[in-house]
Amino acid sequence: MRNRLKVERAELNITQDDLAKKIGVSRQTINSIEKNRYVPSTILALKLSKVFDKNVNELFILEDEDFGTNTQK
Amino acid sequence: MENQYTSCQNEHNKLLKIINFRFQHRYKKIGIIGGALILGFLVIYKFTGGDSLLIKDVLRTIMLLFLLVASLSKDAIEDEYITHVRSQSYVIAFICAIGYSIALPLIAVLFDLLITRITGDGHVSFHEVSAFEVMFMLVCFQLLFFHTIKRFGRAE
Repeated sequence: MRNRLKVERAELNITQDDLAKKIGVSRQTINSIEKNRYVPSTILALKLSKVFDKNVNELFILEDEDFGTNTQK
Repeated sequence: MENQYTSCQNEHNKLLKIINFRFQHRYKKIGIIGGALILGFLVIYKFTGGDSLLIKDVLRTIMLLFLLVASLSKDAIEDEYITHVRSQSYVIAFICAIGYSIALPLIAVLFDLLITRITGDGHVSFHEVSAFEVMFMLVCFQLLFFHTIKRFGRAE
């Protein structure tokens, strides 16, 4: 899964710290999400979508490999 | 059926309360400083010839309690990422502590074998890992990995 957080943040011209304060998390949380090291919870994803006024689907984009990860053999 | 569901949910809620319990952030410093002070005292006690098992056991237990408090304390900003990092650090610490308790006796035996072969003297003994050692390593690994993984999130 990739995300457009960094792009959206640049469009709004806000820093990681500003965004973190807006949704009540730490800057390292935002940094980890942007670097794809951490997948946020639904609540956090919805908070982000509210800040950027975008659908969650527009912020977080599933990739082909995401559809095969939990397949049980 | 509904009663069974409710009691199941009650048990789940109680368990979640225990799992999610955290001390205030200020206890983290107290835990680490207290643990380090007692560790320092234990080292000094050992090198000054102190051999009272009671004193050692009491100090070790208090040190473990201090470190446990540090391990269970909230971070300055406690959010879902920190909770995630903490659970990851517990998993890695658990695996490392088990690895330590398996590897250390093996390394000690191999070392003894090597010394015996080189010097032609001495004997091979099996080093037994104590419960304190495992607990101490577990909590130290947890604190170490927690701060290490957290640092990855800070890096630009």
